[in-house]
Amino acid sequence: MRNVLTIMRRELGAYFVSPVAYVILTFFLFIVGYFFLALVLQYSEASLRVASNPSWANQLNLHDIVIRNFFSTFGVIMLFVAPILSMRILAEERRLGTAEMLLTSPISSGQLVLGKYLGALGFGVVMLLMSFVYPLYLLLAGAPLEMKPLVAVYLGTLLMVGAFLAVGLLGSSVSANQIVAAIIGFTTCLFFWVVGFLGDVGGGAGEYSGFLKGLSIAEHYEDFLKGVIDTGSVVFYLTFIFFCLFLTQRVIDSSRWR
Amino acid sequence: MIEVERLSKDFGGRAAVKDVSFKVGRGEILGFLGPNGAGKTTTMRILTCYMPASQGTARIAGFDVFEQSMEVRRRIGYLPENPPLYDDMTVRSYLDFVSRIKGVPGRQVSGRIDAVSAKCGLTEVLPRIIGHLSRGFKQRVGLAQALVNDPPVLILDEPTVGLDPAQIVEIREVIKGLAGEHTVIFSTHILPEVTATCSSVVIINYGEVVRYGPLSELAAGDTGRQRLHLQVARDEQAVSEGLLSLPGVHAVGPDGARAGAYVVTAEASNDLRERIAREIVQKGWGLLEITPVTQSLEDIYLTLTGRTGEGMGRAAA
Repeated sequence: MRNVLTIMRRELGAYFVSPVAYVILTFFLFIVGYFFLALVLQYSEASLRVASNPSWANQLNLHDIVIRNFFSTFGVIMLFVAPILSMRILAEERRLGTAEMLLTSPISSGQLVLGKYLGALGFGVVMLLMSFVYPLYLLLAGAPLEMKPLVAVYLGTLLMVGAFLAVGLLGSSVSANQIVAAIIGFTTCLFFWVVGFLGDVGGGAGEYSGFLKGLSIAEHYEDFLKGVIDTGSVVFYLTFIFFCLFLTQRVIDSSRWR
Repeated sequence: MIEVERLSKDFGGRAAVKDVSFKVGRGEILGFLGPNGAGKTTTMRILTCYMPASQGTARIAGFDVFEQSMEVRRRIGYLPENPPLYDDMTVRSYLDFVSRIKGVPGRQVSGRIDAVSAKCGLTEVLPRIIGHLSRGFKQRVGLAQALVNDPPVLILDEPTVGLDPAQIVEIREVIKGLAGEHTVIFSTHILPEVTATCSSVVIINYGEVVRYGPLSELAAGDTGRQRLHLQVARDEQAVSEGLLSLPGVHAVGPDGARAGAYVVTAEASNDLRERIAREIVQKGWGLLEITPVTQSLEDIYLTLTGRTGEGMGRAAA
């Protein structure tokens, strides 16, 4: 455990000793802030319409209009950001030659992978915490924001970011080239994001609709966005993450034999 | 302390290391010598548990590098050919990280960092970012990294490459200072390095050990012959004939283009050397100089690795 924490601390620290963390956080907050602004304006316009026609009032829900769409966008942005966060994790170790030091140190490859993953996830958590300024803004403004669905949304987003980073880590383990690692991570994430689409097309794929949607990161995320914590979705994400980390550990071990 | 037995490593059918065996006793320094691509790095990577051998065994402090890898890894310090450094970190935070993953107890970390940085001359650069350091300092940080958990065995892959002469001497002194407490293997293709620091030598070429033994034995050679350099005042035809007629003298030839200079190949014995000297004096050839030619490590190396360059033909004796 101590080894895992040591690796994790360095990994998380590595984002902050280089400009990476600051560049990503700045642009990320700017983009999601822009979406937030658009959504809040949309909500205030809807409020005006309700004021003139009170029968629409039950359709006016802050969570559905702002929070849900905000985090839906958040998910898509993370689809791009997560592979960038994870691409260097192992690829850089190989390029710098530090992999040789890590793999000859008295730590197991499992501890290495777990530490690396938690470091990256730590940065994901920092991003999530930073994004909380926007819901906080609503709360401070006295908006009728429900807390329980918000917790579900945050849990779902954390799990989804966790899944993206696990895929990215796997991508980073197979190549010493960061660009290659990012491409593998991004395309794999994208595939699991859109894999459910085929189920909607009908035709031959219709039969497998349930199966395909069950594999989709986006479909499971939808549940959380509605404000529901579905155990099935939690299990899906945790299994997904575990499987990616397991494969990463196998890749590292097998690299010794090549 | 280190026992290597019939170690082999294939990379997809191409043998990088073949049947390598050697032993290093506690506190000794072994020089691992060979041209680039001879299999030095591969052997070291097997010893440090970075990759498994295809055949053969290696034991460090009694632990098998494959079966008891964790025990071995706890006992070694390894400096790979390219020092494994994170350019973004400061020297201190880097050494802190390495000492923790190498299992130095939390309370001792700071003390160990101070100790190794003093030993490697890094005290002044501890707060600096590694990426901004010169090549020589980076190499020293790499060495400090290998030493930080005070391992009994050190494996250093070309620790002096890319350093300037003054730095080479410094690093060499550090390595020499490690002998006794630590068992050291270090590889190099710079020969004076070995003469200056090692107690024994393994010369490896195309993956095979071509010579292995204590430095003193290697330098003496084991051919049972000696070579003498002679300089006489009067160069006469009789000199070579006269010397050749002595029992035990195998060959007499001119040494370079100088008049009166000869190289004598003879049985290795001091009596014979005395005989030769007396013979020259008695015949009145005018003995100016008689020097035994010891084979330098360089000669041995070039002969054994068969990579004699132009103008180095004298080694081919």
